[in-house]
Amino acid sequence: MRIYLLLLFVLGTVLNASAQVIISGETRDAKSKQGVAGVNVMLQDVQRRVMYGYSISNDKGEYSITYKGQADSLQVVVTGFNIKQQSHLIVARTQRIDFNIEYEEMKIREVTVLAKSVERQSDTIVYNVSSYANVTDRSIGDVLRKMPGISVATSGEVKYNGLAINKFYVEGMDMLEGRYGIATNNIQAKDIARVELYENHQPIKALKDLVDSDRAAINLRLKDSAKGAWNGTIQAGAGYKPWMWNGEASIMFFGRKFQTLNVYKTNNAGNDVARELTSFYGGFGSSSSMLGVHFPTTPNLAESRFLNNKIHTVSTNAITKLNDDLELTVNAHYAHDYQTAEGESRTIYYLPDNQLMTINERTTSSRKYDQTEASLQLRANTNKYYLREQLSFNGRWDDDSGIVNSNDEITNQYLKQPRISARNLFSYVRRWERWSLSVDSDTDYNNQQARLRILPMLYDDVIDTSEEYPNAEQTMYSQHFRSSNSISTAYTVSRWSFMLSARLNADIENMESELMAMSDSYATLAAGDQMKNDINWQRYDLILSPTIRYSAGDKLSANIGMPVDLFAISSKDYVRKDNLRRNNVALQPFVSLNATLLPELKFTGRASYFENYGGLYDSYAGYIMSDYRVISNRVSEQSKIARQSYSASLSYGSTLRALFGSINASYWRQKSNLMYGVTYEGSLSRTTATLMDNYSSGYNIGGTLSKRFDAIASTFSLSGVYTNSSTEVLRQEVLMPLQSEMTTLGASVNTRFSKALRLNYTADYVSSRSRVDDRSLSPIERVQQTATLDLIIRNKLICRVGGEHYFNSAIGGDDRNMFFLDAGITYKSKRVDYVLDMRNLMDVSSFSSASQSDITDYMYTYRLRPASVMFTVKFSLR
Amino acid sequence: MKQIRLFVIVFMVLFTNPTFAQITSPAMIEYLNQKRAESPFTGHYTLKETEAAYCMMNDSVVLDECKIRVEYAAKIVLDTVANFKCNDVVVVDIGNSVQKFYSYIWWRRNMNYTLFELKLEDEQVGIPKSKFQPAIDYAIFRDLQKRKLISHHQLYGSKKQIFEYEEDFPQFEWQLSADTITIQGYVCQKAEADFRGRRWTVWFTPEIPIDGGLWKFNGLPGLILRAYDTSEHFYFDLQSISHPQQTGICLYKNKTKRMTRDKYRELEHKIFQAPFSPYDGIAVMNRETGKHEWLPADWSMPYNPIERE
Repeated sequence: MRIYLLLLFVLGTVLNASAQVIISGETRDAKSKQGVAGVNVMLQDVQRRVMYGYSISNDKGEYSITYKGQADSLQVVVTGFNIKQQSHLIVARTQRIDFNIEYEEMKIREVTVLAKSVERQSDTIVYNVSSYANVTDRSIGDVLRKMPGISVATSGEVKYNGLAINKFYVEGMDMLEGRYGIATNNIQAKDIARVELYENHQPIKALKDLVDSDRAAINLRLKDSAKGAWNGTIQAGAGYKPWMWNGEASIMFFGRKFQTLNVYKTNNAGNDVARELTSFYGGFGSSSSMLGVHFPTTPNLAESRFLNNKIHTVSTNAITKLNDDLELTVNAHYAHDYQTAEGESRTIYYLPDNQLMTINERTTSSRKYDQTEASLQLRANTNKYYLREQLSFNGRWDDDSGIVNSNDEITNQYLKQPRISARNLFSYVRRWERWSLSVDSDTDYNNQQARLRILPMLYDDVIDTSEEYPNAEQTMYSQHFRSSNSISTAYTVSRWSFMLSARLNADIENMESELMAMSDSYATLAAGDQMKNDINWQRYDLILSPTIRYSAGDKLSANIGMPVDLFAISSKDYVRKDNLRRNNVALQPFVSLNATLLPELKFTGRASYFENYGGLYDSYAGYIMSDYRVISNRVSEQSKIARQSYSASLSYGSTLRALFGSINASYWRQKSNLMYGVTYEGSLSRTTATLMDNYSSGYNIGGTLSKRFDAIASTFSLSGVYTNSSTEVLRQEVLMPLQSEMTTLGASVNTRFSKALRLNYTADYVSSRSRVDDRSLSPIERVQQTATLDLIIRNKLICRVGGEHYFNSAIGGDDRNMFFLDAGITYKSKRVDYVLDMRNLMDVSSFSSASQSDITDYMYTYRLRPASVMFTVKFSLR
Repeated sequence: MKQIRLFVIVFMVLFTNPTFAQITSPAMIEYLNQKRAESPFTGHYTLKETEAAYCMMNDSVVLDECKIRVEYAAKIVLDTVANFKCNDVVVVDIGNSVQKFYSYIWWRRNMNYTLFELKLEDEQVGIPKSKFQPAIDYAIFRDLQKRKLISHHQLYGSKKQIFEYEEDFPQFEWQLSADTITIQGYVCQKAEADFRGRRWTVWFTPEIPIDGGLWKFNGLPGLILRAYDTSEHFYFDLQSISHPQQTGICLYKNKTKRMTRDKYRELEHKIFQAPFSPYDGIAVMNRETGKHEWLPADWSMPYNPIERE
C-alpha cells in the first residue's frame, strides 16, 4: 500500500514537474521522534527574500506545501516558537522531507518605534525625553534646554516661550515649589520618560476657568523603572590649583503617595551650589539689606571662572499624601559658604558741565554666611476646593569683611547681620457650580540687626571723628510685620463671572539706625540726631476689587477690574519728633484679554494703571552709611508713583513643525513726585529727595524662536530684546534727561555632526548706548560665545573641548577679547562615571570689563581662578 | 445623524430595569465623552468613570510566563459617519502555552478603577486627558495546546463582570503576495485574507516565527507587524517588541458570564441598535440654551464592529 502511494507520488511528480511541486513530510522531535505540531515550514527563493508558500505542521507533525512557480531550486526553512531554525537548499521537485526538530529559547531583536519628539494634546505639550537625551547629559536640566520652546537660564529658571513657568511637578506632585532647581539638577535624565508642559496653567484647580493664567507648568513623568524605587548618586572629586574638593550625595524616591529628594553638596571649586536652593517664585525671604561691605563687581563670566568659595549645602524635601485629598510637604534647606573676592575698579561719574569724577579702588573682601529655611505645608487641591496652610522659618547670618585701598587710603570694613523671619500662609477656595468663595491670609514677621564697622572713617566731615575715635560704626535694627488677608467671592452665570474681593493689609515696621564714631577698641560715642533714625511706620490698606470676567469657552477670556485701595499711613520719627499721617485712595484698574487664536497660537494683552506710595525707606531724615563711601538720607514728602503699563504678547507652539516662538511688546510711563539726586563731596555721595514731578517712560520689543530638527537631533534657538527708556536724573542739583537704548540678541545651537560628534554653541550680543543732556555717551558692545564639542566613543567615553570668547568694546588693549579653553574626559560604566575636568587651560588670570549705568562709566578687573584639574568619581545607586 | 452630536445618556430614569444596565460598551462611553467635549451640548449629569464598565484586577492567576511582549499602535474608527478615530495601544503577551491580546489603555483604566475601588488611588494634580482612548474593550486569550480562543468582553454597567465566549482557532485563507516591506529592520511579507466581513491585509515577518498574537489572526509562519482592513477602520502598527523581565500573563478573576459567540454578538448588537429602548428617553442639556432636550428612545449608537459576521 505504502509503495503504491509512493509510486503515485513519484508519478505525479514527473507528470506535473513543471506545473506543481509538492513538498511534504513530517516534523519530528529530534530525541523522541514524536511529531511536533505548529512548526512552520516555508518555501523561499534561494536568496530567502520572498516566501512562495508555507505550511504549519498539524497535531501529528505533518506538513505539505504546494509550489506552482518556475524556480529550479528552493530554500526550505523550518522555524517555530522556541525551535531552532534550519534551512536546506532543495531542487524544485515534489519530494518528501522530514525534519528533526531541535529546540532553543527564542531571542528576538528588541525594537521600539521612537515616539515623536514633541506632541500636542490640546493645551498639553509632551516632549519625549529619549528623543533629546544622549550620553553627555548629566541631569534632566541638561535635556530640558534642548527642548524647543523651553529655555533654562543660567540661574536654573525654566521658561516657556520666554515666560517663567509657574509650577514644576514631578509625577503630578509639587514637592519643591519654587526650588525646582533641586529637581532639574539632581534627577538623572535616564529616569525621565516624558516632560509634559501645560500651557496657561492654573495651579489651583478650583479656580480653573475663573482666574486666567498666562504661565505654563512643567510635569516630569518618570520611567516605570524609576517609580517607587530608591535612587541616588554619590560623587567625590579632588583637584589642584588651588587644592580642591567636590562632593555630592543625593537620595530620592518617587512613589504614588510619597516622594522625597535629599541632597548634600560641598565644594571649593567655584560651583555655587546654593543657587539651586533659591526659589524662582520669589516673594518671600529675608528682606534685602541696606548695609554692606564693599565688594568688587563680579564679572560677567561663568561663575566657576572666578568664584572662590567653600560651600556646604543640605536640602531635604518630602511630600506625602495623607488621604485622598490632603498632602503634607516638608522642606528644609541649609547652606554655609565662605567666599573671597579680589578686584580693582575705576568709576567715572559724569557730572554736569562736562566734569568727570574718578574713583580708583582695590578691593579684597570675604563673605561668610549661614542660611537656613524650613517649611511645613498642608495642601488639598481638588476641583471643588483648595486648601493650603504653610508655616515657614528663614534665618540668615552674614559675617562679611573687606579691605579697600582707594587712592592709597586703606579702609577696613566688618559687617555682621543676622536676619530671621517667619511666615504663615493660609488659603482656602471653595467652588460650587456657580459660586465660589476664597479666603487668603499671608502674614510674616522679619527681624534684622545689622552692624557695619568702618576702620578708619575717611570722611571726618560727616561725623566728629577724633584721634581716639577714628572709626565709624553704623547700626541698623528693623522689625517688620506684614499681614495681608482677603475674602472674595465669584458668581458665574453663563459666560460671565462677577468677582468681588475685600483685602485688609497691615504693614508695620520699626527701624532704628545710628552712625557713631568708634575707637580702636570698638567703644562708640553717641551719635548726633542727624546720624540717627528711630522710625515707626505703619500702613493699613483696605482694597476692594470688583472684577468682571467674560469667557467664551477655551477660545477667549477677558477681565476688567477696578481695585480701589483705601489706605492710611502713619510714620513717627522719634528722633525728630515728627509725625506724618496720610489717608488716601489709590486706584489700580486693569483690563486683560486672553485669546486662543489657533490651538497653537495664543494672545495675551494687558493694560493697567497703578498708584503706589513710598515706604519707610523712601523717607528717613537721619543719615545711613550703607557702604564705606556711600552715605545718604531721604528727606522728603511722601513719595508717590503713578504708573501705566501696556503689554501684548503672542505665543506660538506648533508640535507638528516642532517650532515655537513668541513676540511681545510693552510700553510703560511713570510719574514720580520725587527726584532722588546724588551729590558728591569728594568720594562721598549723598542721596537726597527733592519734591519735583518727573516722568520716565520706556518700551521694549522682544521675541523668541526655537526649532527642533529630529532628523539631525538638533535644536536651534534665537532670542532678542530691544529696550528704549527715557528718564531724568539729578546730578549736582541739575536735572538731566537721560535716554538709553539696549539691544540684546542671543542664539544657541545644539547639534550633531555624526552620532559621535556633538556641538553646543551659544552666542549673546548686548549693545547699549545712552544720551544724557544731548551728549552721546560712548556705546558699549559686548559679545559672549561659548562652544563645547563632544566626541562620544562607544557611548562610554566622552571627550569634551570647550571654549569661551568674550568681547567688550569699552576695553582698550588686549583685554578687549578674552578666550578661555577647557577640556574634559568622561568614562561611563553602568553605575560609575569617571570625570577628568581641566579648566582654564590658557591660565587667564584676570578679567577686565566695563559697563555703563545711568551716567557713570565703570571699569573693573577681577582675579580669576587659575588653570586647574579635577578628577571626580560618580556612583549611581541604581 | 444629527443626534450623534448629542452626547451622553443623561438621566437614567429612575424606574429602570436593573438587568438592562448593560447599555453600551465602555469604548462607546469614551466616545460619547469625547463627543461631549466637541459638541455645543453639555450634560446636566455626566457619567462618572466609575459608572462605566470595569473589572477588578486585584485577584489574578498567572497563566504563563510572558516571554515576548509586542505592542501595537491601534487606530480604530468607532463612528464611520463622523469618522471618529480612537488611538489605542494594544499588547500581545506571548508565552509558551498562552498568548493574550488586550488594550494597554483599557488595562490601565481597569487598574485605576481597581485602585480607586480599593481606595488606593487618588486624584493627581493637573493631569490632562490622554490622547489615547481604549477602543479595544476586550481581551483574547489563546490556548495554544487546545487551540482555542477565549474572548473576554466588558460592557457598560457590567461592573466586575466579564462576558466570555470560546471558539476554535479560526481559519484564515491567506493569500501570500511577493510584496515585502521593512518594518523596524524586520523584512515583512504581505498576506491577505477575508475574515468575518472584512478583507484584511497583514505584513508579517518570518524572522520572528510566532503564529497568532494579534487579535484573532492565525495561520501565518511569522509575527504580524502591521495589519489593516481595506476601509482602514482598524489599523494596527508595530510599536515595540521586547523580552519583558519576569512578567506573567494574568487572568483577572471576576464574575464571568459564559455564552456562545453567537449569543454574545446578538447581545452586543441589540445594545448598539437601541440602547435606550427601555427608557422614556434621554435628557441632555443644551449648553447654549441651558435647557434640557430629549433624545428619542429609538436612538441608535454608531456601531462598527471588527467582526461583521
